[in-house]
Amino acid sequence: MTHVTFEKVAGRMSDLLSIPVEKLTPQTALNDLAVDSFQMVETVVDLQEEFGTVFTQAALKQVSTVGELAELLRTGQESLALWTRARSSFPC
Amino acid sequence: MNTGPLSENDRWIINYYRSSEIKGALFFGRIARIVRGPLQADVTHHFADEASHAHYWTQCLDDLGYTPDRQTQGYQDQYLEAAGLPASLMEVMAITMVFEKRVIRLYGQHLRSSPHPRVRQTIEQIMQDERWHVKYVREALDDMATRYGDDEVAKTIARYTAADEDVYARTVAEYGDRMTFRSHQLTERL
Repeated sequence: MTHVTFEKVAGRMSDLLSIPVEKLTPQTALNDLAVDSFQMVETVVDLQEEFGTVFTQAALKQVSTVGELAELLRTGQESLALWTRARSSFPC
Repeated sequence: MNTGPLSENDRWIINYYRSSEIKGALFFGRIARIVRGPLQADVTHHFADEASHAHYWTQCLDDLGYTPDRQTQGYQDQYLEAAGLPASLMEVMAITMVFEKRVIRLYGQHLRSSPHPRVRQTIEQIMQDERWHVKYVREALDDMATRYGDDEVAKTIARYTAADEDVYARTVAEYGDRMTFRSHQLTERL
């Protein structure tokens, strides 16, 4: 699993959205990036698949910048890892 | 059975179908680009189907001597407005399942209204693919329960189902006069 860092998230978003990576800072507003709603769906789904994590629409609604999105991916990855470990320790 | 020229309402609804299929292709093109694993083949197939359906409707209009009108809105726009953007692959699959079921019901209603034979042929051709869409998406959602949790999958489907009912009611309120096949069915029931 690829560990989430702001730089990796920004690099991936730069590829997907064809935006120079140097233009992406933790404060960059997500609303300023995607051309349309389909592109936004493509971006958030790709990031979850890339970093092996999941989040819900409710969680995404709390996020407005690239930095907050990277943080959501990071915490999601940690929670999923904890849940997977806990689940595997249960006797079948 | 209507074998004469299409009415203005018939042409409008076919253009609406065509526009919705184009929107579906554009959406699934996006998802096909980024999905990984076993779903890649099915989602790419789905993307190709939506584009083919838009082609079938274009061909249908062309065969009947009409040129497609430019419609920018599709059923999907109202969905995203009512239900919000899907935020994960599971949410994409959930909204797709609810949407595809609605499409099957709509096309089914249209078939029961004895449409023009060329329109009937197009709907029947598309319906074969739509049934497969529901099947593969349902299987994908079953598989995703391990990753997302059974409760989350069920809650998401319920949320999108409620949004679907709301969107359908609003679509009928706004475009009901255009959807003449609905009034045919109401008359049959009376």
